[in-house]
Amino acid sequence: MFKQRWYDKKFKKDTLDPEIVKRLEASGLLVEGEIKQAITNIGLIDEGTYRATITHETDAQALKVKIGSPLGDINNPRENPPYPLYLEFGTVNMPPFFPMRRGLIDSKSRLQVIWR
Amino acid sequence: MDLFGALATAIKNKFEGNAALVAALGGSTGKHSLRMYFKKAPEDEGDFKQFPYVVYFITTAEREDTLSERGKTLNVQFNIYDSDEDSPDDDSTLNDIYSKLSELYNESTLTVAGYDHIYMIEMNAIPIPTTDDTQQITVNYEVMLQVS
Repeated sequence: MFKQRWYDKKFKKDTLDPEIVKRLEASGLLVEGEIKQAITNIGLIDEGTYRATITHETDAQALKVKIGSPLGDINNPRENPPYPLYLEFGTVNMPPFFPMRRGLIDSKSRLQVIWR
Repeated sequence: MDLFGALATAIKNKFEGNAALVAALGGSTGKHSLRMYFKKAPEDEGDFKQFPYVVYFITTAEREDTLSERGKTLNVQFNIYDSDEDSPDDDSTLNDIYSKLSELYNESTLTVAGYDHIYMIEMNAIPIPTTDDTQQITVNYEVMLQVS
């Protein structure tokens, strides 16, 4: 008799290639570092708060790395302004400095090496 | 002309030839007409700026190796601004300009001096929550050009 086997999330987790996880983590570290360097190069290191909050989170299950800053609240900008958004995209009073995009572009050639 | 200057001019020329977007941004005559600016909106008397208006930037440029001739992929960012002093909950003007901007530029053809145009595609549109009496939408485009 034919038997159907189901491979669930636990199976996927248990069998995730450690090399892939290592590369994801290395990619996160690389881009995080380049974004911080971009912030320094642009001269956005006022008290270093923004730079210090840039971090990365690796989600091996989803094969994703999230990189960003938790500063500010987009739902309550008057009380807690989302400065990272303003620095990236600009405001009516300030041009965009786009450190995230600079950091990502500066990482590109080394990301290709990591994933070769 | 350098690449950024040529691309900025191409974007401006396309805007000035589009009656719908020109009308939405102050018309084509008078002191406060044609309110799409490259890099910075001009300061008016007493720091007063005439809303709505658009400022565009060329933020990043990368070498493109997939083309046979030298090419570049560039990010063009449009910031659309309107005042919300009179009606804070009404963002219809902002959305109307965004929609006209998309109609004009998304998947459009640009005439850039010294370059062949490959594509111009809208990547994202982000409403920016502001702390002053303005409303803002940021729209990002990817443009690929190849040396003629």
